[in-house]
Amino acid sequence: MKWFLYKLLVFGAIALLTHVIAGYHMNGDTDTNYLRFTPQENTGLILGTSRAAQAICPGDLDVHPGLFNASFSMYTSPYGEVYFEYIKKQMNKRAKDQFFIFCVDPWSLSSSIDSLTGEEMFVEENKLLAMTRSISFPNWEFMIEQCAYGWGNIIREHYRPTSSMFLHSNGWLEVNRLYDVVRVEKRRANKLKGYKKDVFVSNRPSDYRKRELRRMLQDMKGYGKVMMVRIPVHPDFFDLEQAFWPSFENEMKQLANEEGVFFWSPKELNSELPFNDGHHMNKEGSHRFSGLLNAKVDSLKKQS
Amino acid sequence: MLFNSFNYLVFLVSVWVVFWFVLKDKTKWQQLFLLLVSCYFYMFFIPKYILILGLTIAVDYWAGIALERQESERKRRVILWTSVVVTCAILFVFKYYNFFSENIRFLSGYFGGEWSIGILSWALPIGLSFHTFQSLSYVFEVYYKRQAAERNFLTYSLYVMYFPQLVAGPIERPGNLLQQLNKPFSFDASLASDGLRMILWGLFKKVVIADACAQIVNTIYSNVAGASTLDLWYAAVLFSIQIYGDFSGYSDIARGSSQLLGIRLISNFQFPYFSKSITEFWSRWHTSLSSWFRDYVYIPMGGNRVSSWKQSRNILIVFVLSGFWHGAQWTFIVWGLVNAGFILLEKSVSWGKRAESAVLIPLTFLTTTCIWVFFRAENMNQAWEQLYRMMFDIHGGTQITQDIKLWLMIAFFFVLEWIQRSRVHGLDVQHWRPAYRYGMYMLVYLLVFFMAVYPANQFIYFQF
Repeated sequence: MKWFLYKLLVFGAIALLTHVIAGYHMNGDTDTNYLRFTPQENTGLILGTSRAAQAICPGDLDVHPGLFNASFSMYTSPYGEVYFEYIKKQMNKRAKDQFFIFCVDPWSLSSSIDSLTGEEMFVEENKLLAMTRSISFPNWEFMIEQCAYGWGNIIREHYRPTSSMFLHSNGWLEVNRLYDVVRVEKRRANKLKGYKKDVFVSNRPSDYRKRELRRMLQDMKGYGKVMMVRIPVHPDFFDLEQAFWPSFENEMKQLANEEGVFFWSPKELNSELPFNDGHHMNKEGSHRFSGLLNAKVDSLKKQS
Repeated sequence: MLFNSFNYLVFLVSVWVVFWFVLKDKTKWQQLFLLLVSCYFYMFFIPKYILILGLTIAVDYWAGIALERQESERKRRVILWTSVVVTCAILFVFKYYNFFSENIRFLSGYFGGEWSIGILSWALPIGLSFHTFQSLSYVFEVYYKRQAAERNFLTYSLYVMYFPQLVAGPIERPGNLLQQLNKPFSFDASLASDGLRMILWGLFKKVVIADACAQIVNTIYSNVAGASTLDLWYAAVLFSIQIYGDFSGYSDIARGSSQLLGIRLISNFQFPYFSKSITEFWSRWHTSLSSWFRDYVYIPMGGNRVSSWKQSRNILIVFVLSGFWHGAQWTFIVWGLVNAGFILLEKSVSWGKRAESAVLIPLTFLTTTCIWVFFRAENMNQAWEQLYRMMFDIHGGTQITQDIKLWLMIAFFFVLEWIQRSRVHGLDVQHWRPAYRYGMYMLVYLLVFFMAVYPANQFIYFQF
């Protein structure tokens, strides 16, 4: 037994050590979500879905340095209890005069409906945010739950990244793809087709999500300033969103008024900014939009 | 709880530590502990289904004792059939009811009627076919008086529920497992070391070979209509490798886990892809199931000691049942029939004697690959379409990017298994020099560490 235990301990130690080494190699190249589950010393958060994750670069918001982009995707972080719990864990409650940017769009405030029962379904309950309870560094829980592949891949991706996406330490998701007209147009057409076929049919505007958004706004107001933003999309997507939820803009304005927060919806930028696929801005669009948002935040801070 | 998950690692280490250090030399407590952790392991999937397993155990435990007490052959037969019917009824309801229902509805429609017995929407309890057969093997052994009835309900329950082999075998026999469970547990370092080797090799087969093959196979099978001839052959070959890596990998991890607890499970695979005929393949592939059918179906029907016509009939029945055991679909039945057809063909043609291994092994592999098409296909139409396009409707081109790393892994896998073909498993290298041996352990570990693919798929045989 002793000799067996000795051998077991040696091999166990090697296995543990290699996994620990791999764990410390996790970064924005090896996983596009991991850093969002590590503690970030922030002075405020940007909330939303993938549209916000790619469009708002906190590094460009120099009037309020230290913002962290805590946006995921429409299936992971639609407004609701699951997302709120994550935000409560990620926000820096010790920081003073924080700033929170709530990015809203019809998809992040809608839910899919069960075709048989007609009941509202909450897809986020089986996704990343619900499955990962802790925010820590290193976040072993995240790695154990999400990195179901050999962890040696983490080391490989760290030194020789193969992904076109990179998550910055401020939460901005940088996507490096080819932006020639033909490719962008093809991606836009495919994305639009996908939205028309899937979420446009399966989703409905959700009163629950609107209530949760209001609850989150009210809570965050206790820690600093809050604004709501509707991020520009390609006009075709905007039309689709109008068809899906015609009163969305007015409802958001009303919500903002009732809660006393500023709502910015620069629709005029829909046809001006460059997109990756019509729904997500490309790198250039992201920097331009973040610059404009920076000016808006600046004027808002000066007003108050 | 999947064998290739972190949960299982924590579970196994915890069980091992408590079993050998906390409960050392307390056999009854060790048995009880194993039963409790086995229940926990099973309940990780669908907790309430443990009641079904409990019913099977209770009925067959009673049947064993009743069979031993009863002298009258007629009454013994009644007890045997009661046990078989009840145990199989559970299997029928959960696994086969909908198959019969759909076929009755189809037949009734064919003759202009609208007769239906309804459809059940219950999920199939995981590993139901495996523990049903394991429980039945005990009843048959007691009936044939080759095994004494187990009086201890705890020990018998553990025989059926023992977690390493609970959900996908090997399908144990009381002569092996029950006997070991009745003896005091003693730690055997060489058995445990071999167990660790098996676990490592099983993991390699599952997460490096099978799961990587599965990604390509699934891509091609999701669009059979758009796949070229080359793609279909590619998918078929990779599926052959996938299912072997998946199932034998599972068996290795199961046996390895058990050996850590001092219990040796029966072997399920003996390098089947090095067979020189389909007949030999079936003496090396999933042998715990093949031997079950041999002992409890084929031999009672007369086996080889009957006329050649009846022997052929027996082979056909066994393979149809074996196919049907795998799944309630016509594809599995046809898969069984085709295997039987090849075995009967091999019996009547003695062309293999002069042929070399270099010809027969690849030929058998290719034949098996084509037969697996029925096993993998979602329905008969897809199977026929794929086979037709593989053989006769030749189209060039490919939609698949060749993955050189995968083929290097597959080459390493088969070369090591070929070198080790006279041993128990691919990583059975304790006779090697220490430097080579430890080097090989590290190499396999690093391959798992660097090459394991996402996601951690469920094992194919869990569905049976």
